[in-house]
Amino acid sequence: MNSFERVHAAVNHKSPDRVPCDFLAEPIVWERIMNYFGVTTQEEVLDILDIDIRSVGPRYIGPPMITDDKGLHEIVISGGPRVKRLYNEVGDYTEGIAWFPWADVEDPEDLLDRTHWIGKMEWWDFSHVEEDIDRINEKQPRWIKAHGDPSGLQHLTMWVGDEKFLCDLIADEELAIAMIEQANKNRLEHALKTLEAGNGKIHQLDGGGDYGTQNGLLISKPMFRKFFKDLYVNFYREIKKNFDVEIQFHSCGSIVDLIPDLIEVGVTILDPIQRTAAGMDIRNLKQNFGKDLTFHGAMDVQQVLPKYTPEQLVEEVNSTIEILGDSGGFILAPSHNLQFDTSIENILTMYETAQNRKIRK
Amino acid sequence: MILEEISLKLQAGKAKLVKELVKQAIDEGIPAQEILEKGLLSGMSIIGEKFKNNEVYVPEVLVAARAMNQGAALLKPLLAAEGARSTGKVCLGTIQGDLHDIGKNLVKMMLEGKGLEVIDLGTDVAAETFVKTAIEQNCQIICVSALLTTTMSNMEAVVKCAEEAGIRDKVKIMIGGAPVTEDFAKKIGADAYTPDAATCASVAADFCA
Repeated sequence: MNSFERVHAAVNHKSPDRVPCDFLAEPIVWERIMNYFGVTTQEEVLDILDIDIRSVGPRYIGPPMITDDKGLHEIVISGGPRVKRLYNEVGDYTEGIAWFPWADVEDPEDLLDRTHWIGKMEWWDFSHVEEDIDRINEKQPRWIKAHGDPSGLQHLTMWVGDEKFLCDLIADEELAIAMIEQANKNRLEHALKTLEAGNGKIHQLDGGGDYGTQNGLLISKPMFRKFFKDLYVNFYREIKKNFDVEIQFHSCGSIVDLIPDLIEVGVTILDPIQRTAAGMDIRNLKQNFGKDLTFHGAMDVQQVLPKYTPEQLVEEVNSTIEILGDSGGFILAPSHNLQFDTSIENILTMYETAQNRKIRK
Repeated sequence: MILEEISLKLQAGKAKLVKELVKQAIDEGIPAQEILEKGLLSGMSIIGEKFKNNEVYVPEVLVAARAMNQGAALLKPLLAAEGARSTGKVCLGTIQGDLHDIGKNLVKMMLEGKGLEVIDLGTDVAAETFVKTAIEQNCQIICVSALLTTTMSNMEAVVKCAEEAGIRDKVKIMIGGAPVTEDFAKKIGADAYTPDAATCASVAADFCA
């Protein structure tokens, strides 16, 4: 099987020749693994690891993102949230949002002319998307994904600030709804244009919104239904009307209580399966939702990948594939970007075990 | 009765009403300490328990805490005049290298809901800052939070730093955050790991009792 056929089988709940694999990592891990293999591009690493999935999307050509006088730099778009970079002793850094562009919004009128995630449509260049896909597929046909979703909880908290937005959901509903609507502008058009630019060669649309914590949902199910669910219903309906793509939904944490709603709105792939969170036991997930969902992720970055010995990890990979990969329905990946505390040894052990072949030098 | 009403309105996150009711209770001559305990803290304690049991979620806790703070602000000068003292003092923060703070802030709200005084050191806090604050402010407890596996390891420095400063037997060190476990707490020599904000506040209150 080639990569496309492998993922296609898995998402259609048929057994592939081996479990499909995906790869996510922090920049320092990318750097380390490129050094290990003696290559200079991420694409070469993905080829060596035989990662089945590739990501494409339009390029941002809007106004340049700035670094302010406090050293905070903008992310996503010009006028977006600003992050602070913290360095630590091993030379890596973590980033956290330290400035929120909508923190001062107190009234729906304050939102006039405010931009959100997409900014303006003319800030995006879609012209090269198909070309990029063709280049990827030259070696072998891969499973191609692109990003697109309506404004979820995380998109709002990143712009407004966690506490302010979560309070507004109760204390100022009118404002919360106005912010959600403003944040949703251009998102559907952007996703449709991306898929259109892919000319039928994009197989999956990724989105999500982080509705979970380690112990349960971040907001109640009724609140999800009241503020967010219809956005997903409408968005995915429009997407599916025009394009035959799988819908992947990302939410960290314990979201088991939300899964039936997600299936209902059209989600077909769930990411990242944070199995250490409450109620996210993979046997139960497979048993209860395995017919409707493909699971993406599940290789735990909290307790497993940084801490297990290679021998323990082999066992963990095999048992995860056995449980989640029974009759397809599983794509193996780390449950978050790999951090610098996961060794190259463990990364290679994970993919070697999944693919039953030697990858290391 | 009015104190019960304060508790109920606090649970519903009605900050404005809580403020008005607290004012009314003061005017009725109810001692500030009683308004605090039977009104505000009682309401916050119910919210904390419901949060722990996934009956309410983060937004409900945030608005309840906001209502508590508004009511407590009115009581503060009166409590000082009554000679009331907080049941304990805690300094808390997110560990060095980590900027995640929603979990830490929820812990702060729950601690205050137990009547404890909290010094919030914010995020990206060095081990030395925790210990220096604990010494200068006479804190009985240091609470340290981390979300990342890569920053969690910095928590051990807080324990070591407290040992070096000679205050290890005078201060309890509590840790928490998504990747943190009981085993990890034992390994670094912390006094307690708690899995959620409400449990943290209960354990902290017990430490101060």
